[in-house]
Amino acid sequence: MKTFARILAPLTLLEWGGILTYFYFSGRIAAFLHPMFRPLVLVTGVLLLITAVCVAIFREEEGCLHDHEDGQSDAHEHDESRHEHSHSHEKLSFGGFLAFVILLVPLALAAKISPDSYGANLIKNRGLVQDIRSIPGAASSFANRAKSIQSTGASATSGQEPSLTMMADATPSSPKKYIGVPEQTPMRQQNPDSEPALPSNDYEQPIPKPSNASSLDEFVNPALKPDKSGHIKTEVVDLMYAAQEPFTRKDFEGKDVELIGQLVPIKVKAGAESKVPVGSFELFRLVMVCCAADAMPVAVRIEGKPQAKGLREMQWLKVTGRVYYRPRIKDDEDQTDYGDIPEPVIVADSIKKIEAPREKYLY
Amino acid sequence: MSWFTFNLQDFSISFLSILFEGVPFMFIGTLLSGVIDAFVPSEKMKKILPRNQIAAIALSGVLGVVFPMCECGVVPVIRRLIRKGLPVSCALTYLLAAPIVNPIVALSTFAAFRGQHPGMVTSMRLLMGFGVALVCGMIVQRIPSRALLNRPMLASLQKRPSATRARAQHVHEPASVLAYAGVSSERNVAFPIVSAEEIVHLHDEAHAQKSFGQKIVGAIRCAAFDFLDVGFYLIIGAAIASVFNTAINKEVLLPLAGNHLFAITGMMILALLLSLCSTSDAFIAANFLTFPVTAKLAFMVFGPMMDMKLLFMYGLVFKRRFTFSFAVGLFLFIGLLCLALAPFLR
Repeated sequence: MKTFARILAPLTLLEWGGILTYFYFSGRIAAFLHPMFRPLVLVTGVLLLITAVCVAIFREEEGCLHDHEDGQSDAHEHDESRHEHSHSHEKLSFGGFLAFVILLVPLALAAKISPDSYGANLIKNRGLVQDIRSIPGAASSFANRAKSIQSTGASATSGQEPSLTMMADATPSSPKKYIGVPEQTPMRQQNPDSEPALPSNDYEQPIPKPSNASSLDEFVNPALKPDKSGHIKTEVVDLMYAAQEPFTRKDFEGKDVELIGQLVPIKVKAGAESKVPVGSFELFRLVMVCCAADAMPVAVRIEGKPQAKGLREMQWLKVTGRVYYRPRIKDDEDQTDYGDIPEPVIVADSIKKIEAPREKYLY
Repeated sequence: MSWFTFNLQDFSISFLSILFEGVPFMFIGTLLSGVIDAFVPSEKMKKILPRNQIAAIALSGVLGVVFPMCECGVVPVIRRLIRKGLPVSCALTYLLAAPIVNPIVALSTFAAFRGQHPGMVTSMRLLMGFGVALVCGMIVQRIPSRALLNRPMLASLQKRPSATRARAQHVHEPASVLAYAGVSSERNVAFPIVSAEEIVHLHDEAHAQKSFGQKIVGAIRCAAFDFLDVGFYLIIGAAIASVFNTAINKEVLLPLAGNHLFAITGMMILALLLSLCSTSDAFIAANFLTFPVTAKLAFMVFGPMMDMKLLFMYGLVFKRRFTFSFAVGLFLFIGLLCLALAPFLR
């Protein structure tokens, strides 16, 4: 056991450190963690590698000279001290070869087989989030969204200007820092005297400097400016947010938008009559708070055209269409109190299959 | 719609993400534990804590605010501190309070419950977490530590003299002290560590002989083996949690919402099974819109104190029997507390 431990302990640390650094550098980490936690994985990975080397090089004589991890019986201890057999760092509290198998194998296997996105089964089990009140942490700014869409290449060809630079000019007053304060979502800018355009819960969000913007009167949140084809780029979460805020809702109501997401069919109970038009489906994005274990699918209903029929579940789509806010169609069993919050529905004019974007989650 | 559908790929995503989330914090914990082992003399521990035991327990709880730790990282640190002579009652209070009573968790809870009385929910969560930790600490204070700690922990507390004797022969040996500590395992001593104060002193003298470099190497080695120790249980816990995290259909829980008793029990069992990090569990709790506030509170107070991965990790410090009865006791205590609060909230 002792020789095993001598080899296997550094080996285990090496494997863990290696997998952590590998996932960071290969970018696969994006499938598992919020960007905020990713650097931690790199640091830990590198430190684990260093630790592994230390443990392998410095033998016990140089380590602590007294027992720390001793889980053996008294008889054994006496034996040990009598023989001046000094060390017991190598003895882990669980002991045994099997322990190292558990330390080594599952992580490696999981790293091997793990795909980079969840399957349909999970979406069913988690259940679609119908009410954005449950995940306010997800409200990040439009500018961030636009940036992330661009970087993923999901909308690579459209001639959209990077909105960050415009944003810096456009924000009129000194920005407030929202740390989860307001009951209602901060509203998007329509008139210059109200709130700043891009309040955000995002700690990473650079705070735009106020400047003497010349055209305050005509100010519209740049993220809400339609692109060349007349569509506002948006995300599922933004539409859901706007649903609970009449003022913000106006930014979307009746406007043409473009958004991406994955398809999930609308469930209809056997025998029950569908309350939505034929060809409708839900378009969802997974919203992550910390890691993939807490990701929740947020969905918007798309009332499609017949072409939507050939699509498979979980297919990534880019949908353009017009936004409507309608009174919620409630399931009989759904007891949630939605108040008078309407639900966003997009009447699609085009539905295109796309490749999965690199950042699959919204944060 | 079946309530349980397992998918290996979904499982592996959840499994890895729990590990990636937990490992850095656990590693910080084990590093800290290694540093404590190499650099903090045991006598300091006793000097810092107030003499009054209740005050000491309360202080341990408040420490959670100053030294926030999440539940993965706190176990190795606690294990080391107990070996350094921290009373088990204080250690347990810190263990339970630290993952809840800390600024990061307060902020995330506040953010998660926006629109659902965030101030009330956040303050209730922190107060309840602190209160429950205090009560547990005070109860545990009355139990002799040989009934609490597992064999390796007890052994490391009791056998220090022999270990020191074997290696630090230059140190003068007060034979009586060693003899006393030697028999302490046979006697029914409540706190072996109290009787072994002088022995601890010897141990530290042995430590003081070493150079800074040796101490660093020692700290790294301790950290590494602590890491493997705790990592073993994190893996098992993460695997079990991921099965439930991906395979249980959330809809099966929804019908429970109408009844306070069922809702609270259901949410606590869910917290146990999901094993979420205390910084993110509020977002999951807030998602259960139809459930009463008390059930969400139960979820958010019970979860960080006891879940699948913790159940295994606690086994590193405590006796299996104690861990089990503690889990049951905590379940009943928090459940009844929330049930009692039900008429006042909402």
